[in-house]
Amino acid sequence: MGCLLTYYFIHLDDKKDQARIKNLLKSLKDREEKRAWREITGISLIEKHLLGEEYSFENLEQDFAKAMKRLGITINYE
Amino acid sequence: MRSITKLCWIVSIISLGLNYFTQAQMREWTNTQGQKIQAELISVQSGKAQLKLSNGLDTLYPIINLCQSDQEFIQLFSNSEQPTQSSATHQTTLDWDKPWPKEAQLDLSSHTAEFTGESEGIYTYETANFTFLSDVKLATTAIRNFSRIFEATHAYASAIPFFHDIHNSSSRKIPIEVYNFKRDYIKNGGIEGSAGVCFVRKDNTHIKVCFDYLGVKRIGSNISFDYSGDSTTIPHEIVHALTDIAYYDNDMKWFTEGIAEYMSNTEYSLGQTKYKLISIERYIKSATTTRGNKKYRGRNLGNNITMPKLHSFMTQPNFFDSGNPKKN
Repeated sequence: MGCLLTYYFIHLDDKKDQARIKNLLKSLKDREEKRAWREITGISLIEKHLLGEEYSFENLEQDFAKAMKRLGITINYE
Repeated sequence: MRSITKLCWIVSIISLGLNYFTQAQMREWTNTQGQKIQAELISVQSGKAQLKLSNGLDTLYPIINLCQSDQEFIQLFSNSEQPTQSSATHQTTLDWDKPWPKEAQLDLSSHTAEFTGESEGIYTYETANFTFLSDVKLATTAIRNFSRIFEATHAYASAIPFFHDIHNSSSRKIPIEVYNFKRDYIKNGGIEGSAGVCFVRKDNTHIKVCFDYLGVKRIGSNISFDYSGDSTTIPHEIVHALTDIAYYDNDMKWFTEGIAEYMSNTEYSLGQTKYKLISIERYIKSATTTRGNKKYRGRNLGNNITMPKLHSFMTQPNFFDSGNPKKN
């Protein structure tokens, strides 16, 4: 499922330009350069760059499931 | 001894995974008055040590007020935190805006695999970006085909914006150790139940795999390439080796595993030594929903999948063992 989620952020997310995943990866590189591993958690960067103020995990779950449905895969969340 | 050790070794394997990510260590500090505290050293700045206390608060403490052994410790820390060549050079190659590739092709005219010698039963072969160490001598065609897969995967990674600094990240070739028998793979650091393993370390990334999972045929004592076999294990591990160390985080395993699966499941043509992304959707889907047997790697989850909510899925402590998606 990590593969499908990665595929989603590369090819299906938002404008299909990898903008959100690139911003997340850029922020991870920035954290590495600042050696700020303790201060900045991975999940905080995920929430900042893959979600945002008006987009929640619930929204992402719905959009991911919709996109997978178009591939013929039904996603149910526990 | 170091206070912050970015000793990041990520073991990525097909059916089982371990992730050891050690960043900082709590230790006891003693000042010149003999008072002691527990804290982690975060950084050194202008004669002061930035310490993270056990209650989570940060403090800047004058180094001169620490005991001699603590001052020596900080000196060692400072020496170890000098910028490396990789961090100094990667800024020159940032290209986040390059288009997502439609295909990645290896130029065969400039590609060679060279046998560089045998020592104590280990045969060494060199390609442009990899050192291939095998405990059994390989047929010429097998070496040629494996080396093409190595270099084609490297070319593929080079075409993707996420892997922009791989050429500058290390001047050394990535070692790939291949073992003829599973017992020797395990004995030399391979993980039981795994097809391959990549140890990601800042200056010592290396890969170990067993021939059992490489899509080869054994005829007598000879090993030759099996054109009908599944050779996705090697690309999977190579992608781990080429993934920027900054992306390895406990909350990013879904991505570091995901991008390795994405790339190793891209349609690959050995004859043309080409990765073709046009039909990737079909390959990704089949790798997740249908494939998964002795011959072809895959998850075989079917088309109706129950998985944890995404927050739990992304942050699960062991990405491979707990809360994984289930077939309905």
